[in-house]
Amino acid sequence: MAAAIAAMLAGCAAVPVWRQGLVSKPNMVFNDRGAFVYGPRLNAQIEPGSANNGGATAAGCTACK
Amino acid sequence: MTMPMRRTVSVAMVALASVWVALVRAGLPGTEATLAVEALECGDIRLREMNLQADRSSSRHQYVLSVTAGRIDIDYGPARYDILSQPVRRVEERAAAELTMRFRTDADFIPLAGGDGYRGFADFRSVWLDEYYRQSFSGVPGYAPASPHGWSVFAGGRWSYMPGAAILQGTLVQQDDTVSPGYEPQIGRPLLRGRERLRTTAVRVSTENVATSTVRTLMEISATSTTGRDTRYAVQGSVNWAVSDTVTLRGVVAGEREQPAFHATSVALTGERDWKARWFAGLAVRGYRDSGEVVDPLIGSSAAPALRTVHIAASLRWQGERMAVRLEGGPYRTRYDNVALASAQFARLYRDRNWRRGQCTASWKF
Repeated sequence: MAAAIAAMLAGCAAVPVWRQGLVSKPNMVFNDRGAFVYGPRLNAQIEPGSANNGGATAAGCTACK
Repeated sequence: MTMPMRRTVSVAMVALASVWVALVRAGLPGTEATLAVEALECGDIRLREMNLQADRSSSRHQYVLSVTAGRIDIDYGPARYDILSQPVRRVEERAAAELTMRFRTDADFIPLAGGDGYRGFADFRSVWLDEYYRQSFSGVPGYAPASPHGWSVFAGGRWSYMPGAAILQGTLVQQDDTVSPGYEPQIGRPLLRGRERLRTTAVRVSTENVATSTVRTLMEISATSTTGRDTRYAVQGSVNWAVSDTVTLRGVVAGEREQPAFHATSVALTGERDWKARWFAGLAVRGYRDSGEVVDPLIGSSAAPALRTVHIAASLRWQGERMAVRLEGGPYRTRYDNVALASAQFARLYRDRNWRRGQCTASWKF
């Protein structure tokens, strides 16, 4: 976790917009909608460590004793 | 499935179709609509989900409205020695709606807010367990049919701390779920009903960076606290690398940890080739493993044993000026560790399965 926070805060050098042609392609953007959403949604029903939305799904076992 | 639930899903489906037709007829500029259908099935379980999303942008706001209808269809089968339960097919449906709002300002900071609500079982495991408890204890004092539902709200902000190259986003989520509880018989007393209501508070922080002219990264961390459980911490790192003008590699590494002993990791790698940014063909491989949720194998529990999965998917996408269509599909394999003897009644739930998965997505910009 500490390493992740450090990596997040490290930032990066600014890349000018005119050099961002490749990283702006549709399949290079982290999009949360449209035809470019990656990753299955239903698999989270099976993998308790993949449900990143808290509550009932991420609770993993919603009916455990 | 109860009639009120059928009505809820029917209303959701009609609303979903109505929104789509209204958007097409209105032709609202600045609106993008996306329809996604996904199916995941094996011999005894069939899962379906349909999602319609409308994204409306203006100079001051951005609204994303999402409506989802899901279906869980299982062939319930009791353990071999269980002479009280009967095999039965059970179908449950789920309806959900979500709204996300972004408020554009003149500054580099964008406030975010939103919320969602749903009715229905969240996953097939809770349907299977609910059927087990229904057949085991229906009619026994203390038993009550389940009616899962929930809602959540969130607020946060998105800050472009290096405009055009780096974004930091943070959100605080409050969630309330009413779930299908478990039961425990007691001698001479009504059933002991498990926790039915779960309250969750989550904090999520992410940062997206254009690291070089060919690499884009996304790092996400979250801490989630749910009633009766220790805090769950999650980290996910994603890297998109433009190997050449036409070849892209995407990698995702994720990990979760929750005391006392649950941890999970996953790794995914996708390679994609495009032709003039019009046609895209890709192949993805993803592996996942966790430590299981069983705390003490000597005590009978419906908690899941350790799990390993592998998913391979091929995809094909066509991108037009206003429309995009994407197809994806492939095998998905799930393997559990052996179920402890004290929990043998759940062996059929946690058995190894070979699934087939398919997904179709279409989007239209008005």
